[in-house]
Amino acid sequence: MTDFLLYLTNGLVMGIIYALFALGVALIVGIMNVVNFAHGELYVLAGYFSALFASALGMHPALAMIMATLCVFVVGLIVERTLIRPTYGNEMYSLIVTFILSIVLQNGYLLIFGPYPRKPPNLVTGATNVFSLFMYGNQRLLGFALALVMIVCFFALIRYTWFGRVVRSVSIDRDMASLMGVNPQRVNLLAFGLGCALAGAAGVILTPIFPVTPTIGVGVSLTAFVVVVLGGMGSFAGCVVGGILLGVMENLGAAYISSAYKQLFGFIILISALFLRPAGLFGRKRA
Amino acid sequence: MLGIEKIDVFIGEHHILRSVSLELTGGEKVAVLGANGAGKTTLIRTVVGLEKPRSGRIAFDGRDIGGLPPYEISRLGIACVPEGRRPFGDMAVMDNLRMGAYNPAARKSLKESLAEVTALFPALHERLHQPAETLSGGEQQMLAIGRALMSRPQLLLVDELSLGLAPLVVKEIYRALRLVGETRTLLIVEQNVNQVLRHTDRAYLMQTGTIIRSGPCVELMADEDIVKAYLAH
Ligand SMILES: Nc1ncnc2c1ncn2[C@@H]1O[C@H](COP(=O)(O)OP(=O)(O)OP(=O)(O)O)[C@@H](O)[C@H]1O
Ligand SMILES: [Mg+2]
Repeated sequence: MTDFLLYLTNGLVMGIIYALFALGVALIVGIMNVVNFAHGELYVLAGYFSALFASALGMHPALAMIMATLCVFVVGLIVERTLIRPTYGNEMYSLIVTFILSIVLQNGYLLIFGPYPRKPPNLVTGATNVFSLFMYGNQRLLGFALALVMIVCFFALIRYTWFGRVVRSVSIDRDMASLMGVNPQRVNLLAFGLGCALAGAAGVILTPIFPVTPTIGVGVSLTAFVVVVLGGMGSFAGCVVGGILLGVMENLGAAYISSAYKQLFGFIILISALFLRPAGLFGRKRA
Repeated sequence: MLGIEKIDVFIGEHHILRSVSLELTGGEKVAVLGANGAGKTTLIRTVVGLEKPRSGRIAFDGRDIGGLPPYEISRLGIACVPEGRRPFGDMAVMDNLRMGAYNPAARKSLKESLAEVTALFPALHERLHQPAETLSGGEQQMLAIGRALMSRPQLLLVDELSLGLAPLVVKEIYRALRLVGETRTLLIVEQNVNQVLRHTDRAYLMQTGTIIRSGPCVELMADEDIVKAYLAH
């Protein structure tokens, strides 16, 4: 029983972080109809930045995390402006462009940082006795709390601010939103930057626990796509539910069946969910 | 206020509007009539910037707006109620109305505008917090008009005001538009010819992308041929 709760906790922690980076993909898909294949590489970039800022520049690890996320936001803005904007209206081009970007970034990381795992120092150490049942690493608990806070902030942003209303209206009806005075190019730019920053936030939260290597971004992208499709293309609530579901199933599957098939569980969940609900858990049929 | 001079509009390679001219002075209420496919919607889409004229000129308050993007045109004081109403379905009625006041100038008077719109359409007031897609067709049309008014436009363009609505709702909406028209210029596209001619000063008649007639409504209603072709139902 205690074991089960431990695996469940692991699943929840991972799931909420999956949800965090998947929200970035969902945001960009909803606004721009662009599937960003380099999403995982931006997660990795944030991990490298945080390690670099903390160790090479001697920043406090917390400050390094914030700075790294901001840097990835700016990188996102630059990528949108230079690489994505010319592909507007052609989803195939943007797919190819982000795919190439992901490979270029992987090779760049290998060249600059080498093949070895990198991580910043932990923000907290030790472990806490959870419900007096099992000891759980403080860094993981902190990661869970941070991701949860970021997700809550994201939902508040979408629900209660002008930016949020713009995001929702543009993803429903781009032309109508522009007739209300919304400049669609600016929304694209900001949404892309924010989407990348969400990957970055997840990156800085997880890197102390799972150090980054040049290619782990591939798994991050795949997980994000699975979560987004599972939750229903473009649904933010779906991302959260889908992320937690995937995190929990993966961890329970790894514990009770075999850890060798971790990635496979994701696909099995995805395929069976889509079989039952083709539009995803929270998806709606699009006209 | 709005001057359209010999515009030609293409969609893809299709020549949709051919040398269309139209003139609105401030405060006027004008109707655009025509059979399906005449180009009425295209005309409105061109004025708000969703289509670009290939040639000709569109001036608003003396300023050339023919090449401006929609979001800049909306800032100048032009708003539209689109064909099909197109509410932001997932979003609450309140948020739909707020989006109407997105422009910085309109945002400053959001509260006043909201009070005006809900006074104009009490049905909306009771439904501010439900998703727009749950409204009836008539309520959605009120929302579309309300959303357009939230930007405090000088010129309001309405495409298919009464399409698919019950006579009673149509009446209510026309009553509201009469109030709206006291301070604004209106251009209304309609299939319901009898209604619209009673509420407008002048009308343009379109056919296959050109304007074939225009004049005061009383004059058009007195014209045998026109009555036969468009008004006799
Ligand atoms: N996207 C498009 N591609 C090709 N042709 C189009 C497109 N949009 C409109 N048209 C054509 O342009 C012409 C005018 O269309 P428009 O929608 O402006 O007519 P309308 O007068 O509004 O008709 P209705 O009364 O049915 O709304 C039609 O022949 C239509 O087929
Ligand atoms: Mg039409």
